[in-house]
Amino acid sequence: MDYIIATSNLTKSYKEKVVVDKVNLHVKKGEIYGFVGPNGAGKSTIMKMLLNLVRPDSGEIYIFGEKMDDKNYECLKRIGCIIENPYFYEKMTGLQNLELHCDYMGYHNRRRIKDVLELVNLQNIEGKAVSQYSLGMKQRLAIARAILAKPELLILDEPINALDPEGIKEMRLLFGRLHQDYGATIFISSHILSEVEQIADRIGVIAGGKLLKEISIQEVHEYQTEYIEIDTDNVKQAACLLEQDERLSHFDVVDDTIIRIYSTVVSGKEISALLVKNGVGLESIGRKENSLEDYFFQLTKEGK
Amino acid sequence: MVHLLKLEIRKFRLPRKIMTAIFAVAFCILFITVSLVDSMTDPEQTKDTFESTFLVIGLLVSFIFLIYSSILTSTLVISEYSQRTITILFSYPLNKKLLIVIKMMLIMAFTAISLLFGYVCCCGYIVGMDYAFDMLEGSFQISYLSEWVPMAVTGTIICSVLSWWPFVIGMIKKSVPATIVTSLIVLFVRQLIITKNPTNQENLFQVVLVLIVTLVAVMIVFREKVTKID
Repeated sequence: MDYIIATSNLTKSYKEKVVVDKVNLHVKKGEIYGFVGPNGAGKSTIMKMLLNLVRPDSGEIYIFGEKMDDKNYECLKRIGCIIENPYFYEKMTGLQNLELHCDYMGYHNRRRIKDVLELVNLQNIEGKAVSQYSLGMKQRLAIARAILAKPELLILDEPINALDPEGIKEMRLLFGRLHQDYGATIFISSHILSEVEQIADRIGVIAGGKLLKEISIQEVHEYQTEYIEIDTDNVKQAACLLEQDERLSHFDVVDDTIIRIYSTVVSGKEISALLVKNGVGLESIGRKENSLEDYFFQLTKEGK
Repeated sequence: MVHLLKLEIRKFRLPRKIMTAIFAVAFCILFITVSLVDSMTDPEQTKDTFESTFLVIGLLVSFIFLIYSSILTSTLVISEYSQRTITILFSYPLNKKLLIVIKMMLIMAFTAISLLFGYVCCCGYIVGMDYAFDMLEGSFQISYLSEWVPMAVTGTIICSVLSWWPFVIGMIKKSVPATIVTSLIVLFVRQLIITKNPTNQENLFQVVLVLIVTLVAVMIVFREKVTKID
């Protein structure tokens, strides 16, 4: 398999606390890989290790098929990244920061600076020091810097943080375009699961330093079954009644008041009639769909 | 490496640094002028000698430029870590250690040149002023240079080497204040040591010792701290 990023038993501890635990990542060439997990799951640490900013305690990293270490830094020419927050030389202007980036990357097409600033919708900023930018503007500039040298691989740690909904949509479209037009592989972490769901081809779910699952978004969608959720005052009696009906016997008791019924043949009207007729109080009833968020919570719950 | 050096020189903003160095030397000259005029005009004071004035010049330029080099170290190196821009720098296709070495060599070279410039300007100034206004005891002899030049060279070498100590402590603490405070402590300790020497200057053994100890500390910091990002 043609993997752009592959790790083998990647492990890192800080002060005897394991923050990344034997992680085996597989990012295929040309895909958008969404990396999701709660805060402190180890996402940023793994991303830093991929960029050789943090040295793993054990395990190996292969980027573009080559082992990543201190001596092999040439492959960084082919990578664009945002790590943690958008850091810049604050006294310099946005333009100067991007020029400096070109210099360090050995990228000589200065006309592209204007293009990327337009792409991230950051214009008329000449002469303005980065220290005067809002956080959203810095985030846009960081994205501009990441894509400036037309990298084959983009490693983006929470790139849509601090952006407004319109900005988030713009960036989603931009990443999609980069992926389509240049065939760039994108490794993106975000805690906004609905965004990852819309953009990613595959996701990796991490919690407590462990990679719980790598799954294609297609498989996640297959998991996304419809169900009827009822909120009742008597879960026990409701469950007994549902068990008696063959068509309704596939259900989950979520908590003290909520039951999810996985049936497409019985309508909500029929269920509510059945429950009310038998004296079970109903607070609400409605048809719902499992989302990536549900899938994520189920995985992280199992992981614990 | 040449490309990296050019980039760092550009980031260094040399013209601005040169202007600051010129102002620093001007401050030394002003300080010496005030001292000389005071000893000239006050009937209770005796005139300063060339020897004592040269020692004051050595003390002043080393004090000013060692502190200035620690400010350069903190702005060009340590603040990259404290302001996290180092994560960007280290994600470029560069040898990380070489990048920091180049930054520090640039600072050290600038400090050394500034120190020599300070010595030349201040010594030239006192010779000129004495020639014009007879401000010092006795008159300038060419033979003074045989003492002054080696002392200035030794002072420049030792201060350039000592300019690495703010870097060492600054890297350990990853703190700008710690970097600048270290330069003050280094100056204080140096002063304590050299006042015990008859020449008021480090002897060869002390120079070699400082060189070795600094080299070892710098090597440990490069191995343990430079590439580490929290």
